[in-house]
Amino acid sequence: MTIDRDWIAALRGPDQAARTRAGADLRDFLRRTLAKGFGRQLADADLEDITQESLLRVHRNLDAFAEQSRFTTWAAAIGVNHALSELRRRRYQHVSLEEAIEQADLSGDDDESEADVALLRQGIAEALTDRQRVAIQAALGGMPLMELARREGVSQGAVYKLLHDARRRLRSYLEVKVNRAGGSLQEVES
Amino acid sequence: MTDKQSSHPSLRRLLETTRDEELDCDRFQELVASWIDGGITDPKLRELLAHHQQQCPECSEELEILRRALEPDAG
Repeated sequence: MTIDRDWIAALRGPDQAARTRAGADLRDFLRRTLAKGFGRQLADADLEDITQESLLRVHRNLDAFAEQSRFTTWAAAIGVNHALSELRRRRYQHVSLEEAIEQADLSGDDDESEADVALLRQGIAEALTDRQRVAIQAALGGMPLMELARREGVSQGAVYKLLHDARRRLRSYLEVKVNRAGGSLQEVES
Repeated sequence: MTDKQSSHPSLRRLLETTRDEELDCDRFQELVASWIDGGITDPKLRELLAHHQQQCPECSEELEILRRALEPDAG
């Protein structure tokens, strides 16, 4: 098995034949790793395409590898991220933001009372900016952050920050409501 | 891929666990390989990574798949 350090040296080095061999080994590694991680979620044809694109992404980002982890872990993370991005894009490509917002589920796995849900809905309407409101409702409707980011032309991290700011605003809004009502949410609701 | 309906935390639970300082997904993804390999020694950073994993179902799913993908082959 190729040792990480040898692998990186070959991929970065001037020897064309060594680079080609290392690239082929890396491709095999990515294919095996993605197949193991995703199982049947990736059909054979998808696996080939996603492996190829992952390989290109690893090559493109090679200079950014700072040796804070094993090279194989770093390369696998790039492959898994790309594969998930592609699967989520395909799954949601025909779902509009409006459809996702309509599906927004404010109670999730918990059994929220109707009054709780109404208060959360009121908070979303009154405390958030337009962008925050759309993003939080689309996310609650199942739209992946990764897909929201792709549509907005920003990074997933930027969407997370937008939602994080929205959660902080909403939390403050609810705290004010609770404090005004004398300290209990039930009193806000009644 | 995880179905949203099966692992979607409620908004209230997300609000309860919201902190002023959180890692975003970009930073999580930059650090995830190092985290998996035990290369994150700063306890605060480790805690921020764990908190992001709890807050973000997508990054959590990504981590789970990555760990499975990197498991040594049996035998």
